[in-house]
Amino acid sequence: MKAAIRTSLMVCIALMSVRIFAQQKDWQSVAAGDPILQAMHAELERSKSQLKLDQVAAPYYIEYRVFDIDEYSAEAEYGALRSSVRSRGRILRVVVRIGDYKQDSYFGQGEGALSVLGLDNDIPAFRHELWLATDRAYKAAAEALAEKQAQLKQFTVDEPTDDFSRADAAQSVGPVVKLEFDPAPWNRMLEEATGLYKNDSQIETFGSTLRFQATNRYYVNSEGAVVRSGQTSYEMSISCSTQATDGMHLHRNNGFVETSLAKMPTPQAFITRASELVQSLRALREAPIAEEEYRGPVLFSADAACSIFADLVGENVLGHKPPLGKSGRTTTAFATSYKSRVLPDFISVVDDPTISSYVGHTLMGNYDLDDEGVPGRRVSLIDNGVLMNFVLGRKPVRDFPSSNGHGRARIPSNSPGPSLSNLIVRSSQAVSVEELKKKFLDICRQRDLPYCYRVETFGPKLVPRLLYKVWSKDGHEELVRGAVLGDLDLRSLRSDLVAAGDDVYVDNMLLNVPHSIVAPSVLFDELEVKRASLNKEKLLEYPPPLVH
Amino acid sequence: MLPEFLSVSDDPTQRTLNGADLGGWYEYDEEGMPAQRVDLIKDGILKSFLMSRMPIKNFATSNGHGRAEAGHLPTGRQGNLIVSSSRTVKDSGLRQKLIGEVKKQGKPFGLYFEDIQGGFTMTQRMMPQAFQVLPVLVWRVYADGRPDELVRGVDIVGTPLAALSRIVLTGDKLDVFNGICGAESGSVPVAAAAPAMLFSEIEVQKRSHSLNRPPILPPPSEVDGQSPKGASGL
Repeated sequence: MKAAIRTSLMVCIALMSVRIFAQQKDWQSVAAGDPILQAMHAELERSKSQLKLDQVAAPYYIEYRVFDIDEYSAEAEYGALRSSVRSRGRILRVVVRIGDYKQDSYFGQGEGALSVLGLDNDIPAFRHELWLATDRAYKAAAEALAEKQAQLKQFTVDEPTDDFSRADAAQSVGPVVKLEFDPAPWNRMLEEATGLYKNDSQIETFGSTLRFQATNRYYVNSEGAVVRSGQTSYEMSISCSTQATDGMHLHRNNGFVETSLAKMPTPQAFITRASELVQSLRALREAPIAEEEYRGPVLFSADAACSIFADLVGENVLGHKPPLGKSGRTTTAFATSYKSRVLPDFISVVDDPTISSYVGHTLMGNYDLDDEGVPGRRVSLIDNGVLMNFVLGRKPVRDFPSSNGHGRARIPSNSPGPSLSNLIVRSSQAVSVEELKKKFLDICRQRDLPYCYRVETFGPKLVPRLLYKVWSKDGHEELVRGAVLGDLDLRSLRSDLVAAGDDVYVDNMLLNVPHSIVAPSVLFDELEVKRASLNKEKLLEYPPPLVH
Repeated sequence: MLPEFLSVSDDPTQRTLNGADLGGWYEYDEEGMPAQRVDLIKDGILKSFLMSRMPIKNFATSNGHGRAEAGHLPTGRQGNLIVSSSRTVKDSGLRQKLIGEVKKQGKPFGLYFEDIQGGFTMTQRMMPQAFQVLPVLVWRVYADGRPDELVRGVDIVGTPLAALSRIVLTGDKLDVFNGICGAESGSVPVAAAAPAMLFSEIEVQKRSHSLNRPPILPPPSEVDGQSPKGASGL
């Protein structure tokens, strides 16, 4: 099956290249009929040929990008809607670069000018806005280049990398996406779900939100790229909290993220999930506190493993160029690890924007072209444990002179930077979940430990939310609370991760940019689990108003 | 505080003035106190303050002006501030009085401030008490009968007591300004009503402005929507 996926990927990439680069078509035939692209083209041509200040170089590169965002968001608490907002906006970002690909003005205020475009399709008004923003961006670029060159005089640069990589000009005008739905049933769902706070008088907060979004991106640059692409995302979440009798605050949250409304759970399924969370919160409240300290094997579910790989690998494979005067390859912990072993040799990690699903699960990080008009490519980041590549936009880092199509912008207005798409973690020695659990208990028994820990899911910052004691004599599980992992870090990931399952969890996220993390369950040979030092606030002075 | 022919009151109970709606109208303030008309300055003498339930020296109780924007703590704020005058001429006569004053002082012209965009006053004890008003439409009114001339880039500056003591007389018609006033308890709707006023002397200063160049290229509307041919340079 793995081979089959590989083959189909190759075909996909080949087809896409043909579609995008077969021939540079006449501009009119590509973008005619689209008022935003037409206005962009007209001002781009005018600025290319005429924009020039005395004693300042003319631009060598200009780009226009518009994010047209249509969004519906709603929020409910304790059974009633708290807000419900439909909003629409078009954010324009103009980048003008002076200098050349080796060294240019992309620095500080030279990283672009922002503006907001009107919502009707008035080409003269669009052009007026583009004209003013281009002027501001060019003047800011002139100042930024002088400032950058002045700063660079203070440093010795041993291994200079270019400021901007070259890229083929993509021409791809895709269909426009729309947000069309009836909010009423979804609002009722939020109200009904949060109304479940009544089922447990000890619940303190209970909220639920949804955010449906349709984003159309328009992009042109002076190298000839013309791109229009649309994406939709649908997100719903529930979060609730309570306090144990000893004062410990306990939280649970849960969410769904999909690319189409049809794939979202039904309102009834969402309400069922909310009800499960209420029960889980009650179980946590009644659970004993974890022992003071434990060292031994820890088993992580695929869900928990996604959080581990997102934090420890996902953050570190981003090819961020260090700031001016700093010599590292990237700014992350993997800066010096190129061609070194960073994971056990049976684990490989790829980032693949070319696929939209994985064993039946939707992936959020699928796109043809990134926000710099570069085709998204599958990148083999960690090959049998060895770091081989980074995810990169058009800002090169040492040893990696060109983009691999991962330059994406945080909506709506940031400059694009290296971002994850679909990060997929796989083991070449995957074992079944049952076998993994058996292996876990075997280690436990060999070391004469009465119990070992299993992490089902994490909260923020890799703090376990659902942590179970698994008793070695019969394998039964007991929920505990109030523990943290002492030494879950890059070293333990490299040396103590001993096995991985053949199961898969897909964690879809819209934070920063839409992306997904895919990972199997993993077993660590030894980790520290210790009691968290927490503020235990006193319980509320008097009982909740709703007494049964 | 003011020339003796001027009085100032604040009256949130008044809904309209000369047919114009007043924006600072309310029945109860944000502390549940009934709105009251307060005489702040009577015949030029300061009599009272706008009070919330936070007492100050010599003023122990609220006079129904504890106002706030949603989510803010109320403080004593303006409602409908109304300036009245007992030394008036018809508005049409004010222009003649201005020209008369200009001639008397031997100046070539006086200034007529038609509209302002806003202003501010420094009220901290550690700073000098000074104000600045930012006019939008200012005309030079010439003593020799030349037509009025629109000018730009002038701000009114001064210290409140000195400036206000130079009011010589006022018009007879109150104009209403409805606006949103921002302060520590947030933004609240207020109104101010005052007649036109003739000052014997006022201090103005040239407004600071940026020396940024105008856009390099002409606006797109001036090039007929045609993109230029023979593009070069890239």
